[in-house]
Amino acid sequence: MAMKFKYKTLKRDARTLPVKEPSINVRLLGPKGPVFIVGLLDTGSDLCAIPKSLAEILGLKITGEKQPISGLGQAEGAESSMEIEVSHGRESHRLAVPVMIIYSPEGAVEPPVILGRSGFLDAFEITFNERQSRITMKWLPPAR
Amino acid sequence: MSGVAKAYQYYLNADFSQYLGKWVAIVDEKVLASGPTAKGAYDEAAKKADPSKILLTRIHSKQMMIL
Repeated sequence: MAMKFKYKTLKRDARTLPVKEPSINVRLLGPKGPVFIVGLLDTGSDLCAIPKSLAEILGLKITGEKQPISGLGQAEGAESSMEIEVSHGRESHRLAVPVMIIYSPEGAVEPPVILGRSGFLDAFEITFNERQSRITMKWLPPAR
Repeated sequence: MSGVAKAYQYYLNADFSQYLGKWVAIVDEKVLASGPTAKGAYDEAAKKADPSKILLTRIHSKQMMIL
């Protein structure tokens, strides 16, 4: 079985081409409850990342110290953990993942939810079909 | 995902160009709140609708994203 998702196509302005974004809808779970979000599949990200204010909604506890992170401007991050549930049709998977909580500079727009490799992308065989704007995710059962 | 299935379909098909770079909270086929932070959008939407029906996302910004 495999789960299939569509890219989101976004128009920006008349001078630039639309952006096609490989994102999927998932449910994030923390001590304060679940939140449904759309997250960006990012094979270049070592692990999943969410902005600080979303971590507050979920009630996540920080387990690591603040550290600089590359790729998101001047932001800093701190490690925590959460669960992610991804579903499509009758197929559903719930994963416990490490997550980097992103602290953005005061007044800055918070970054999107990043669904990265450790704990999440590494649980699937994923095909990005850019021409057909389609993502296919095949579950990889844990190695014994 | 049944509680937000309609909101996700709306997200995929609707034009969000007026929300570039913002967090939006969608319920069914409507954007209930938007802003610079996830919690701001979520809290405002939660005053108007059942939180279990809220789909949160950040809309791509005007700039091309290269990480």
